Amino acid sequence: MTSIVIPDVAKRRPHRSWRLLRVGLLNERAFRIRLVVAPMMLAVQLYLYDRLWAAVFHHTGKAAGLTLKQTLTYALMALLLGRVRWNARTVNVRDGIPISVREGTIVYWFLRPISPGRFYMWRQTGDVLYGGAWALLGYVVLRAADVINPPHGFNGAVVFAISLCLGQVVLYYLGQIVDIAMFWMLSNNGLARMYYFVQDLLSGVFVPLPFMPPLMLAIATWLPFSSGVNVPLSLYVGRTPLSRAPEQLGLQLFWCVALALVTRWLWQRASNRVTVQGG
Amino acid sequence: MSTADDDAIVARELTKTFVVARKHTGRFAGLRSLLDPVSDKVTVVDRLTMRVGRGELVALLGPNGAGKSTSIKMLTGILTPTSGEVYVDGRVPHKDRTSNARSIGAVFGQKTQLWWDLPARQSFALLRDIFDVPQALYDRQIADFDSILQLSEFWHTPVRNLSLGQRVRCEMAAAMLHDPRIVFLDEPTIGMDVVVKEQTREFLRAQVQERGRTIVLTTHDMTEVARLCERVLLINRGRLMFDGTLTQLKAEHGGTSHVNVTFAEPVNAVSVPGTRLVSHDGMRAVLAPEGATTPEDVVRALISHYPVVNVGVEETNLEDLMRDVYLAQLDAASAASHLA
Repeated sequence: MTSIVIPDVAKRRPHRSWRLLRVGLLNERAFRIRLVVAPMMLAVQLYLYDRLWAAVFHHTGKAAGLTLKQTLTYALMALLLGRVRWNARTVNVRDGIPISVREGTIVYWFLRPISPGRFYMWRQTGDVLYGGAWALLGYVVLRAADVINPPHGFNGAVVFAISLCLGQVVLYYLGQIVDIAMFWMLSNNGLARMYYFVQDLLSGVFVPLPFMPPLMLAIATWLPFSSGVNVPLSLYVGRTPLSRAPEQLGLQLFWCVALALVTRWLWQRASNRVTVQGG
Repeated sequence: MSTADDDAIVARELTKTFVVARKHTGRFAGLRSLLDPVSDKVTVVDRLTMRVGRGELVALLGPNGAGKSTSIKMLTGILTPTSGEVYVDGRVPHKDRTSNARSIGAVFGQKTQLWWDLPARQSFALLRDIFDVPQALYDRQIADFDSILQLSEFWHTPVRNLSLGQRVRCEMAAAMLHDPRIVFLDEPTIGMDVVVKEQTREFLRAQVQERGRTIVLTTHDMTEVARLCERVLLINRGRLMFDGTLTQLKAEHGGTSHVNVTFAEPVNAVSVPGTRLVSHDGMRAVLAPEGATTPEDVVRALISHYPVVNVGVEETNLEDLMRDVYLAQLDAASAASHLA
């Protein structure tokens, strides 16, 4: 009998789990048609939104404090930002939390030398990078065609980039909270669909928030959703002056920290109540 | 009792109780369940005490709902015990999940840890990254596993297109890729054909004999138990009912052979001293020798006292033995509850 040799590396923290970033791309490559459908879908959405807003502004030069070009910039970039997290919406993702809990394969998340939260983070980040690549491509095309405005100078671009990243972190934690709810609900399809509708509506993906009625706008401003899309895009199009950027970035940072703490607490609770359906 | 470090697995008085919501019935049941929730405590594993030595291959047996899977999930650290102590490779698994993960591997029946839409080989590579397996060890493991399980024939196929047998072979490899000391297999061969089952058994034997792994196997396949495991742990209703070898199990629960007899004409009552009547339908009867009575004694007694036209001795197979053990335990539990 030969004894098992446990390599020294087993004692160390894993350093290669970041390679999970590639799972999203590998999944997409497994269904090559998706690589064709994704840009087509995006092109159709952008074209229809462009026509829609052009029609809305047919008889007016300004609405909700925005010009047509500003509105198109906001609305089309909001669509692109919505595309960033498209694959990270895990309702139908086979190795996401909802399906893993439903099918019982969540057990394997707890049998790995990286925490379930870390695994989730790498998977989500991979999906966001993949979605982000399509969004960036769409941005380059729209800018090349001069359909949307450029950022307001170098400072505007930097502030937008920071706000965009913070907004993605906020949306990441919000989506994660909905996913972790699966540990209690065992089926969260309804919750997830409702959540994503509310998120898209109150973040500004469907319609720029300045077009919302005052009450709805006030509610949206006080909820974390607007940090995801409205805050960075308002800075980008100049509706929010750069002088107010610190306040806006501070609000986004607050949501990042608060949601991170909530998520951490939820993971601890969820880890103690793993149930495995089907034996 | 051994210390936590001596054995691969030590469990002392391990108990798991679930709180289960009781549903209201009748009018407005849903609303009443919401406003006035009532719950019951269900003890699934009840003061389980056991140990498994290093390099052992043991079978954890029991009828459906006996608590096998829950026990395995506590031993792997997935579930937190309600009370009791558990040590796996010297660690408390649910308190040290990350380190524990390096010591153990697991296959849970039909639940896959492979990425469904990716080829199995890509899943192996992802698991290599998750467990941070050095490339040299990974290559060696893959070559070893392939030599027995013949994975390379299909490992470039997406997992969703694999047959059950092919997928389970990949699951086995995935569970042991990081070279764990202890492996938990919860009904791994369920639904597989005999050829693949034998291939899997050969793989498991090699893992124990050549690599020194400890394997805990739950299964309902008694052929598998007979061919693989020297020691069985039998649990029922969450309690350990037997811990020993198959030979001991047969000796303790008797009835290692049955005498099947066919009569020339219907017989009203069949009674042979030193036997237990297993079944009787007039023309046919099955008797089990008890105590010092041998099957030959029974055959002789039947021929001399009854109009026998055919008689044969059949060794009790393991399936029947387990059925008898389970039923005997159910009867005992029923009697105890009546007395209470």
